[in-house]
Amino acid sequence: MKFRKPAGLLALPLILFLAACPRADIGPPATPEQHIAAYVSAVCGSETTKGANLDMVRSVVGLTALGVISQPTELEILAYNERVALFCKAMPPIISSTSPWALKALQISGAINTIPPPGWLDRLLKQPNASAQLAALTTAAETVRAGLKIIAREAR
Amino acid sequence: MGLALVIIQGIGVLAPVAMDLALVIKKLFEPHNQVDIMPMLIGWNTNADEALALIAQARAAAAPTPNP
Repeated sequence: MKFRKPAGLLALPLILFLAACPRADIGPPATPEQHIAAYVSAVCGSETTKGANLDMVRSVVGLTALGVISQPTELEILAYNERVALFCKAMPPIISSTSPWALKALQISGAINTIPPPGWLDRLLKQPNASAQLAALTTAAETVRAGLKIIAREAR
Repeated sequence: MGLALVIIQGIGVLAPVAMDLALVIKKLFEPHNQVDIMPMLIGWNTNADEALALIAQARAAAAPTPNP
């Protein structure tokens, strides 16, 4: 008893390995959950980044202390940030659940609908002579607004 | 004796092949582009809690102090 074709025997796993390689590539997220997770991370932050919403809260607090933002405006923005933070807390159980995507999409849309539109943002952007000081806040606010818009669209 | 050697040799050749094959088959049936979202989920909660704590502090600071 002899192995007559050892080369063939060795070539088989090599061919299968090469065939599997392109499939193992990490590319853009493929499932709707993964796609939405990437955008939620921009708004809420991941384990290594803080996220646009937390950046906003810090900016709002700092700018109010400096007198750039009035207290009523601060409270208005913080109410918005609070809804966004609650949305962030609502996402993990929804996205990691085993429910069908249609149900998850409904729950995600419902959570986004609890967030009021940032009417104050346009007002801040129009505020004269304060653009440099408000830049960090408005940039973070734009990121949150754009992120939520994309998530809402994806969950449709 | 000779047959035993051949069997041992055969196992020695076939075992790694079988393991490779098992790994490749597993890879072929894995979902594509799998991204681990679990670390992200933890980050969302942690950052949201931090934001909520800061918001509560800012609200407390903004609240009018009661007159004595």
